[in-house]
Amino acid sequence: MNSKDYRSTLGGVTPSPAWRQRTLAAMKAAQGQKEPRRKPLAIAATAAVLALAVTGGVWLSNRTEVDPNGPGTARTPEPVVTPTPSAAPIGTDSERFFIVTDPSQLIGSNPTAGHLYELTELPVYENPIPTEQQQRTLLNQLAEELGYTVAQTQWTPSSGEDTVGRDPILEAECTDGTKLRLQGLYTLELYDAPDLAAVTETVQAHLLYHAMTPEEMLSSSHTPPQLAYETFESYRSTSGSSNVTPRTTWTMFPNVSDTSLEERIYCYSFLRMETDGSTLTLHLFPESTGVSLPLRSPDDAQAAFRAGDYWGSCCTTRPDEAQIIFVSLEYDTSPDQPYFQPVYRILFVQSYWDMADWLEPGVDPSPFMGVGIAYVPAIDPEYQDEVPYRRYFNDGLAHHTPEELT
Amino acid sequence: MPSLNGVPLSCEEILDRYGPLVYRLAIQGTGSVADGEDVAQEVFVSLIRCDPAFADDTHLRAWLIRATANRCKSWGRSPWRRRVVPLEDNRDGIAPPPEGGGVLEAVAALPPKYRWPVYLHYMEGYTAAEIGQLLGCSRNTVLSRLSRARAKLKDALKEEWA
Repeated sequence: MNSKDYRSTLGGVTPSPAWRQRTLAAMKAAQGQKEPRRKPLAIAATAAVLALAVTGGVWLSNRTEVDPNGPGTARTPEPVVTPTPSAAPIGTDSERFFIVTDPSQLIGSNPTAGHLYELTELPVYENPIPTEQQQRTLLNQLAEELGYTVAQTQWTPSSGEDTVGRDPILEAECTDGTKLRLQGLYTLELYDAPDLAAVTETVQAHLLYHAMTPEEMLSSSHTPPQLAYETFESYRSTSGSSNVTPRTTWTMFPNVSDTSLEERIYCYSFLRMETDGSTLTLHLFPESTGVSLPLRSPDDAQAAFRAGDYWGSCCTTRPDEAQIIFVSLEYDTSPDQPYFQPVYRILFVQSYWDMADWLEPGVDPSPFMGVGIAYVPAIDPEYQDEVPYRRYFNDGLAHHTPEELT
Repeated sequence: MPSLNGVPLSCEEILDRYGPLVYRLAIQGTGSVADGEDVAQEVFVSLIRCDPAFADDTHLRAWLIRATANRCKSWGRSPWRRRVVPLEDNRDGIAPPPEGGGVLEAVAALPPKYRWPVYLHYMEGYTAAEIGQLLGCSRNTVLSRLSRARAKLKDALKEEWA
């Protein structure tokens, strides 16, 4: 009976005369106007001018400014394939972590800091395996937006669901030598660019462009968002040398601090760019309709980690003894997964990680410390069979299970 | 102007024929009358600007459903839209909510992936295969979602959804 009630009730919901009048007026006003096509560079230039006017040129002036003293960073993307700007942890199959001097860099500007318990559900987005034609269309569009002319391409098909290489790859060499690498539909890497600084600036405009509607970009009264910057330095000890070299990743994303937490997480996770000074990775936001699913609690996620059930390139044999220093929530945008879904990101340290064991003789270990990152799917476990989580590292599934501890 | 079978459609004709469909879909999609009205208006303005030619009514309805679904999605996502204060906040003209709103609320409380198939199947009469084409998923997925939606509605309404 309910479906009949539903039909009759919803059938009673009809447009009001006032709405019809307003809509009719809007439609007539739109006659003769062509649907505005997104021309990011042109509109982004407008955004840049607006941003310049509003901010006194702050963000334009920090063109590729990689702010060595910048406001901290970020999550640490993990390398699955090369090239990648991401840092990899050091260690063995039993203990792997990042060597850092400033663990607060790993906390960065995640919007859930201090608000972790406020969310009860978040959308999950599908990551479909695209066709070659879909990738070619998107890559051509992106190349045009970024000012490149594609000279030649090479396509690598998907290796199938549940594999590293699930996302097909379309690589392009541009006329100026820049290489573009589109993995699936949502990760674009640029490398070998003659002027990475210039393309970084263009990509910044791209982020701002996608953070605003065209009307807002052209409105003189609308204040464009600023870009937030994060920096992450991880260190490696060079064999036979007393030098310790940092690997630095800079991340940028639109700072939309005056919006809902859900939307801030969305912008933080999906509208972001990372660079290590030679390769730039641009994350593209998912086109699929998000499906909201309930979240497990942060406490539940920490309990899962302590029990040994977590994901990521870092690992420890004694998660129950780990000191958890920070927990945040973000979307995992790493490639090859069927869904983009929220994950708890748990930073942890171990008292027995002695940096002297991991640095070359002659290196003063005192400035350094090891920090691990564990990822725990945030969707309520009851729903996880609907949206299976996948994360890869070194050609394999980066899933740690309690069985490994026994 | 958009045309149907080679015949241009006036704005009035479009609203008369498809206004209720888009209006209800947008309200179901956004979960709010105010947001739904804005989304529905945007869809019709976009239709005029795109100026497409449709071979038949089915094609046009599919276009409107997809456009509405996409705008509902981006509406919920765009942080800036929520800051916009409508110049005209006149809600006098909105039709009063009909009786039996419990059913509507129960459907509106479903996650979108269940809500859309319920609306398209029970309200618009689309088959699972057609809904799959509209929403970009398989027929089996639609059937599965309809089944789960019915189970959830049964729980919410304390009676069988049939």
